[in-house]
Amino acid sequence: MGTNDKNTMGDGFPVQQEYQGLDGRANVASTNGAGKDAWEEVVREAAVRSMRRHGRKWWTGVVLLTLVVLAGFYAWIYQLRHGMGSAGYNDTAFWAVYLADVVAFIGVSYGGAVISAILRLTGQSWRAPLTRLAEGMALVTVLIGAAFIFPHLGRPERFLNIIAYPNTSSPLVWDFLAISTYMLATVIFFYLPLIPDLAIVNKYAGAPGGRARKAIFRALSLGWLGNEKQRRLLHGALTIVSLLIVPLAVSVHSVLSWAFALTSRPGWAETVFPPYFVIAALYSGTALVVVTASAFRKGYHLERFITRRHFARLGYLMAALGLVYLYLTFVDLIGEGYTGITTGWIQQTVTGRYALAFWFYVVAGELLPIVLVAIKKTRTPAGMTAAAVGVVIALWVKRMVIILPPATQPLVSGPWGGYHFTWVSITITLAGVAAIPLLMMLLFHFIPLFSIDEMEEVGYLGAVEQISAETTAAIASGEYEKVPALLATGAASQAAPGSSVRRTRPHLRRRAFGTGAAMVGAALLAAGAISLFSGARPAGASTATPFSLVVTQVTPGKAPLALTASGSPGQKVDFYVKTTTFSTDGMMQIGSAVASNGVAEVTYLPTWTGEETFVAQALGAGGTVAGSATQTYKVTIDPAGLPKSVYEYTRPMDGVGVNLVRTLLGIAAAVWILLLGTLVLVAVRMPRMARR
Amino acid sequence: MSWKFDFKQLKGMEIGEPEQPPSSCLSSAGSCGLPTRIAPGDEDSPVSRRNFLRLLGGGIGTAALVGAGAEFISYRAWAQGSNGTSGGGGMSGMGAATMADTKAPPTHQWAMVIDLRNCDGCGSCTAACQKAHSLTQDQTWIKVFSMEDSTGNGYHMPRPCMQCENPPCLDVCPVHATFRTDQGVVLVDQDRCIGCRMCMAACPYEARYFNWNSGVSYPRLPVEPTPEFPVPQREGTVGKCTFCVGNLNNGLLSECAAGCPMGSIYNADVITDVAVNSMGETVKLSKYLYDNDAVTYKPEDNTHPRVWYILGHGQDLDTDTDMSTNA
Repeated sequence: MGTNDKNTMGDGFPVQQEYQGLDGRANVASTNGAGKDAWEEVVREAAVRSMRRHGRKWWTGVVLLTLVVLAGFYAWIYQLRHGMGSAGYNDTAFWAVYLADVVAFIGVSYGGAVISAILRLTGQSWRAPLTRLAEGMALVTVLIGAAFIFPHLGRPERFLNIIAYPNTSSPLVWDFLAISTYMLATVIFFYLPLIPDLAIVNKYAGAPGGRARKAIFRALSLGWLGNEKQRRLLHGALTIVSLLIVPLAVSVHSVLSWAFALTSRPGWAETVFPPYFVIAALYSGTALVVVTASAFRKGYHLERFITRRHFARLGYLMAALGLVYLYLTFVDLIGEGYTGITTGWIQQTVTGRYALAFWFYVVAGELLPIVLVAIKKTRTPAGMTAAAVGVVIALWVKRMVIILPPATQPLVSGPWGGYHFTWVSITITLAGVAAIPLLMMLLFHFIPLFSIDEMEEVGYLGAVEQISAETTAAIASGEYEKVPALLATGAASQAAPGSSVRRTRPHLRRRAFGTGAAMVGAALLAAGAISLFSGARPAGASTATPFSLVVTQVTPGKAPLALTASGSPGQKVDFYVKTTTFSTDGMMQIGSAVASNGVAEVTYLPTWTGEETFVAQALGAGGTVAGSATQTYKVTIDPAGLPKSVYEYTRPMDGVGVNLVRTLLGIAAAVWILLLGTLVLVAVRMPRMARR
Repeated sequence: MSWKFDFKQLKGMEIGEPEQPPSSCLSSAGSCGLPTRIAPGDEDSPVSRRNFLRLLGGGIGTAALVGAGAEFISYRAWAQGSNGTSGGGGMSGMGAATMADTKAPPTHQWAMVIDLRNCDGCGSCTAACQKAHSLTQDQTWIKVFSMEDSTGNGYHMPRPCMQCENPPCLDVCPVHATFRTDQGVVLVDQDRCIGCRMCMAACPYEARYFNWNSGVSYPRLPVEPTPEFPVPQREGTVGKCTFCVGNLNNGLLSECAAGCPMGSIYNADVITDVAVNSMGETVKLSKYLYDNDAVTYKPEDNTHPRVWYILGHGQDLDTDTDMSTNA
């Protein structure tokens, strides 16, 4: 926080001059005077700018973006008709661009939602002009990211099989569960802060829109009057959803990473993957918040609300996340790189065919943004936007670099595979990119650009600057000499007790803690025991016929059989057992012996209980068969002595697997109940509170 | 011929499921079009998978035998490690202590032995397989890899699907499209597969092949494709070696084994303990594996393949066994 710009609260916007008495001082000093009304007017006018009739620029943008999206749909139809090979896929590059799209788009969504949630939970008042944009971005990108699953699948029409026949040992089933839960939370998280605004817009004379819009807004605003009870309810609900959004998003990206990390592929089977993906999501998401804020700031002239300070702070956050991500990238590479056991994918990444992409990420996605944030001169909205654009693009490239080298490596032997972009995959990806601004523009055609209610609540100084109540009081009372010291301490309490300098709203100080406990309490634990059954053992009877071949069991009921054949001394006797396994008259040699004292004998270990036909062949001169004898014998083997290969493997997780699945499903169910319950609670109680 | 399989039998579906009796498809021969040959004495009680699980507790120790970085594990080391009392021409010690409450032997447990000493890399197995299954040139369900041993000499290694006892592809399939029959064969239901290709990521042997392109022309067949005989392949789904389990159940060799002019590929049955190749050589599986120091590929991945290799070219082997056999 600077000490010398108390008159310039942002992007060269002079407080005193432009507001003509409606600066932060005047605003915070009066709770119900002209200052408040004027501030409200300013906020409302700006917030509904996106809802007004649009100019040629807006329409041109919408038409162009729609064309790109339609081109993407055409490419997808082409891909459906011609197969996924038309998108450049092959058996080595079996995962490529669409999965990178899924990861990247859902990743930026996570960034938007978490930034909004964390700023909300920590009570950062400067969040006010950004939260709506961040939440809108999160909503739009999670929808697009989820949509990219469809071109990714070879059989998209069978997608619902994942509900019909879920295999709970597959990470993809949990992916589906996590993403759908997260989508629900994103929608609710977008809707709840919208409730007051819908009511405000309906009352605001300057708001555009006809009767239909008013009717819909009235229904959705749930009778919002802004009284104390309603505010408390809404704040409690928002706190619950904000608390849930953070672990939900962590789970989404952890599970997404396990689609890779739970295979045995070098380069994917990494313990670092879940946090690696979570941080990548946060990093790219913060960057896209910067880009979004920058675009809307420029498009709707929001410079006085979204200031240089907002960009600087998001820049700091971005740089910090970028450093963590750089560290995790290093961690990912150094482990296998050092031991050198499976370094093929590392060589390909750092010096091989993916080197250009990898070093592009290092420069455009790490070094450049960090330098731009570090230098004060470039810590401007333009500089931060440039850095953020670099991060967003570089992180998409990084996802490709994460996916392709381990996928295309030879696991047995032979050359490396490769992926080649085709117009199909490029067009579909670009359509997804174009869909972000398109859907954002359309979304904000119907709703205000930022949360009017929050903006009015925090006031001008709160919105553009985070300062403590003490500082506010000092400014309000004209004690300017105290301000630098107060700003330096960075005290962040919202309002001093008994202070009347701000519009106090007690619910802001009441934190709804303990809601998380409900989630844990709802987790279901049940013990499942695998029961093994045992049955009767088959009995057998021996029917030995006296012949030239005699089969006996050495110990009755025990496995080894003694095959005794009579033969002239010195004669070689081959023993066979007949098998019908692969042919009708297979002869499996089980041994041979030389008949000394006129008797040739071998022992045989049968592997199963049942009737077997044994053959003894006495060999004459030149390998001819001099004599042959056959005997059928019903083999009875003691199962304890059953010699058998280990043909079934007991899986180490078999015992805990069921309970783990139940626990996770229980947690997911608890989250759904909590999310939907919160929404229902708000929807039911809010209108009642209006009537009282 | 409709094909039905009781998926409750499969892994991952055990949540809350009581012990299911085996489906009729598995318990009696021919009732679902599978000419399963039942061993005498167990017509009415095929062994459930659970019994196998219990049977084979001894198998867990296997992994411990694997040396760091060893590509192959010796069958002999495996057998000895299991119970230690292997002798003579048999493998009498195999998990014997855990066999006590076996109910009845299962029908067949298909396996394969590939004798690398005889393989000259001609690719006949691949060609025979592709012809029989109407595959494209890229779809090498059995692929002959050119390998290099520790001394730098080359050798050839045909790689079918390993039909793992612990198949990673089965675990990761989100819709149970991959399943394992009680004959130990891992199959793909191409009517259910959603084409996510997670199994291709999970397979450490690159044994799975996707049907990337539509417009591949197939000969018309009088029967619908089944998981056992998935011909023609369905576009947008994953295919792989089926072990030609239909052939095996009819007393025939698999296409690759029958097509091998060197007799390198043996079809085998673990239960009746028989292995047969295209030269008509019928050997006792366990003895053959033991005597020739058979190994499985990539034991470190804990997949427990049903395909054994017999080396003989000086490949690294994590035992002190004397490799004297050389054809």
